[in-house]
Amino acid sequence: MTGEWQDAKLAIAKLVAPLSLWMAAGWAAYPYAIEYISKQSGELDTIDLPEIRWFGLAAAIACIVVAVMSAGYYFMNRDDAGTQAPPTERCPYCDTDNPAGASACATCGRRLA
Amino acid sequence: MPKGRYLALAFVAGVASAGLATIGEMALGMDVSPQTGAVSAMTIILVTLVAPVVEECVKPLGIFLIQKEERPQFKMIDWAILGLFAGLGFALFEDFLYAAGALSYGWNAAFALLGMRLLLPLHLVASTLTGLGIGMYQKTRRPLDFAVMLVPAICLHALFNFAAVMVG
Repeated sequence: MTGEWQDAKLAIAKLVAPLSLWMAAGWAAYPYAIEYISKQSGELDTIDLPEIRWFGLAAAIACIVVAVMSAGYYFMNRDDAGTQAPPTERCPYCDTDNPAGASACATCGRRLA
Repeated sequence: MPKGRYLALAFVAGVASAGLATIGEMALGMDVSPQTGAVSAMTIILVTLVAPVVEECVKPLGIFLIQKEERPQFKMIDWAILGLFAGLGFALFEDFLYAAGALSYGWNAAFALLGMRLLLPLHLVASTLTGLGIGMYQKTRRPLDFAVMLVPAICLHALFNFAAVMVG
């Protein structure tokens, strides 16, 4: 798994968690909106309202589950991504670590290859 | 977070792509006004198979142009946010189009439909995935990395449309 993929998964989790909660609210409101619109259009008898209510509830619960899982994934893994040690380069003279790409050792001052 | 200029570009591109997708769907014989009552098998096929593919392929065009022309070096979360803004522009255009189509049932029904659609951010979720796909493509230059994000976005959109057309 490359760093880009790990970053992509964290980005999905970070954005999908609140969006799923938003969508859960939408599915919870869905049956009431459908009922109201059908009443306004005079087509209330053409829809199966109990089925729509059950579906709205199930979809809202599914969205909440996705939101909780996404948030859990994000909070469990964000520290790993944020605290990964930066790449280092060991000084061959004094055996201390320096940032990768440094031209001279920060401890002994000698030139690094 | 990307600069406001990029966010605005993504949003405007989302609105424009919604217009483009609407024209394309109308050309394919789809009725883009809200449906009530019984729906035909052809409508189900168009709504669950054709619309998701057309919309999810058109929606990220603006972000694709941004990465191609300006080559900004963003983190993955920034590409996801660009996708989110493209989806927001697309969704707002489509929501107002649907609400306008429901005006024949009265202003109250149109507002109820608009409110209901605004509460279901499907386009935002799907275009977040495609935005990330473009970010992956920019970093790796492998079209497969874009497809890996595009296909779940299309499937999610298809599932959502299928549920909406079958249930209500």
